[in-house]
Amino acid sequence: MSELSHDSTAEDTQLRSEIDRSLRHPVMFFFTSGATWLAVSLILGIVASIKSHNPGFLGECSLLQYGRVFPAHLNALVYGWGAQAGFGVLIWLMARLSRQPSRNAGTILVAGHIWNLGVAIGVGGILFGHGTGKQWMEFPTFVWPVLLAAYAVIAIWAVIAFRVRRGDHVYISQWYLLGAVIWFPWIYLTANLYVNVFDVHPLMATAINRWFRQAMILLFFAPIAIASAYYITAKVTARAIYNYTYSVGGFWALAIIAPWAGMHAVMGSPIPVFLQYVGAAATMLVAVPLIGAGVNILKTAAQSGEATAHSPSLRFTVAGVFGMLLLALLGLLLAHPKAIAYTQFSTAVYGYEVLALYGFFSMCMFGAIYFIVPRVTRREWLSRRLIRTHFWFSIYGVLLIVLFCSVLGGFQQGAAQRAYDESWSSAVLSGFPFVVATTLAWCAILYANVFFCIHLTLMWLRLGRRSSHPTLLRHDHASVGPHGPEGDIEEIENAKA
Amino acid sequence: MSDPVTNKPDLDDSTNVNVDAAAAERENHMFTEGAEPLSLWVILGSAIVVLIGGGVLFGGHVFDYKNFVKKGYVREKAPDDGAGGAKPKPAIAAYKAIGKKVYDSCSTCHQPAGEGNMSFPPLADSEWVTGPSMRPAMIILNGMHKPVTVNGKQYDGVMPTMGDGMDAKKLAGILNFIRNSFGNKADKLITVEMAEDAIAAAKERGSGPVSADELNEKYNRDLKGAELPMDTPVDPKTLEPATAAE
Repeated sequence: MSELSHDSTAEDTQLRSEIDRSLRHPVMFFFTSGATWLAVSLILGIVASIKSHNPGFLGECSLLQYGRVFPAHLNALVYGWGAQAGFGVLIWLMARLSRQPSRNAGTILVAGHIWNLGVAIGVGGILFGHGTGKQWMEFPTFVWPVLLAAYAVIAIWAVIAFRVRRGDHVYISQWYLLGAVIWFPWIYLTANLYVNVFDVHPLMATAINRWFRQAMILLFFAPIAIASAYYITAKVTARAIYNYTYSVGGFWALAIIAPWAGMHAVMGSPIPVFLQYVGAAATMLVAVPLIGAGVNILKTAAQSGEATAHSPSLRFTVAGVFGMLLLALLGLLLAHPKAIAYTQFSTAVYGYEVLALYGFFSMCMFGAIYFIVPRVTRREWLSRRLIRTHFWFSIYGVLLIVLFCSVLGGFQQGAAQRAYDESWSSAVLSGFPFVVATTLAWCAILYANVFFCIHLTLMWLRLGRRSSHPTLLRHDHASVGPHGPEGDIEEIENAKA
Repeated sequence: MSDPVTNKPDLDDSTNVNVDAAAAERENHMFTEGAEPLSLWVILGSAIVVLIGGGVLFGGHVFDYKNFVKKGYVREKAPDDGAGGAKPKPAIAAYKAIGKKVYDSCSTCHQPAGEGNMSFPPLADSEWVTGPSMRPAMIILNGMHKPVTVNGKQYDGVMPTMGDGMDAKKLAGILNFIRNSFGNKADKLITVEMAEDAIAAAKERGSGPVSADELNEKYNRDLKGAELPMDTPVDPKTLEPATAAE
């Protein structure tokens, strides 16, 4: 059993350290700037949410009206936080799994700055009234080629790392990462060309826009989150993936089903009917690979319950996987043609997207960040209380948003909108309590992430704990943790000396 | 792990692995090839998802190009008191539906089947009803006194004015109803515009019941206005022709 030892050899440790060191600047840049954009997006989201039940809030400054703040909020969330957190995890995880240090950290860092500049110009453009009005594509149209070019420079190194990988084995996370790397430019380029460049019929452009949003969730954010979850779970628990064959099958099922999803959102409009029905069916069927991956990861984590409870990385990851299962079920519910009649023009779609972006993707990214940052900064997280606050307020916030936007508010608002012998204002008023509750939920998430942002910034400034103890979420100091015996560096060294 | 000096090489001159790469050092080695049996519940759950999703996909609508938009998705008919947005109806049916309600106040004298009684003339098979449309409109709006002869029989009953609170829509409705019920069959639809013509004429004339002679003298003509084929789809509430597709 010697080849099955969990203990790392010195060569392993050295290689890991080399990889971590080689990527520390771009990875930390993506995480910290992503967390900052997340905070910006949350503040904008709260303003938009308050505006929707209290339009006089913040006066009549055109910069801060709902029609500008809301798209700025979503785009900052998607491109500022989501994509950047994804990039950070992508390049680090791909380098680690391919066992190759990066030699192009500087290039990636420059591209990361360009990406950030693009997002900043885009968000500013939206706020100053130059948004395109196409959801998730509201940045002024000159921004998207810049973002695509920056992406190409960042992601190409992940592909190259994969090409020059050591060893033949391709781990399941690499499949997912490679999928995301290839699918993102396809989705982003296609959608932007057809919506912003070519003279496409506006109705079809709307349908393509809805396909784009669904594809971004299922073909970019989801694969990165699943890749990270498979890796973190196997790594922290030191267990084999519960059923490896099934995980590979899940990847291919996602690859086959997910590209069809999205156009069900415009059901009832005069676009070819098969697009609507195939879109609805694909959004529902994508639950199969998501459930498959989710159960596989949870079964793996369940073999080591203590690690799940104590490791912040694994705890966030498991929460994100539960978010993925919830997303699969919500997709099954919301995409059914009978439900679409109610939820098509209600807040349900927003709730679904928030669950995908925060409850699923972001939670997995937080898990990865709690794992990666101590390695690249060589410092441990400062405070488990900050981590706990981040975890619980995130969970409460996102569950409330899903409950109020998608499940309760979405259907009630949809039903009120369908009662066309009532005035429209009564349909708007019927959603009032849910909108107020959504504001409160966003405030909880902002509270969580302000602390996360501060914590991460301190880590970035290399002010983390200099110790060999991992920061674990437990109340007592047990002598033996999930990662082996603990002790102060000096104690160990003194003992060995 | 016996000897840290040989087992844990420094990464570079200034860095001690034991201290600075502690996180990387304590990492577990990964095993990937688990092959535990799949839980029956996962298979069952996935099968249910496939069944529901397949039902949507193969429910018979995917390549249904004849119905460009699925029929079942069109909203059901609005309730009668709905404020518009209801399914269009053929014009004659929509007008008669409005007229039928108005006729409730006529049926005490003219009888539900329009046969009339001793003092009040029948509406069924009456030249006054189906003839030039200005005459029945003026009778309704102003009332009628002095005897009138219908189908060779004289009737002496006085008809009170019905014009108060009767708008063009209701007038058009009641006219179309009496002209196309009880076995009557008019060739033209009385539109709202035509009814407005009658209301304008009644206003110009001033109040007071009309007589048969006056009608024949002054108002022996059809109402003016653009004609509308009887089966044009119109909104049952507003009576506007439904231009856009439902």
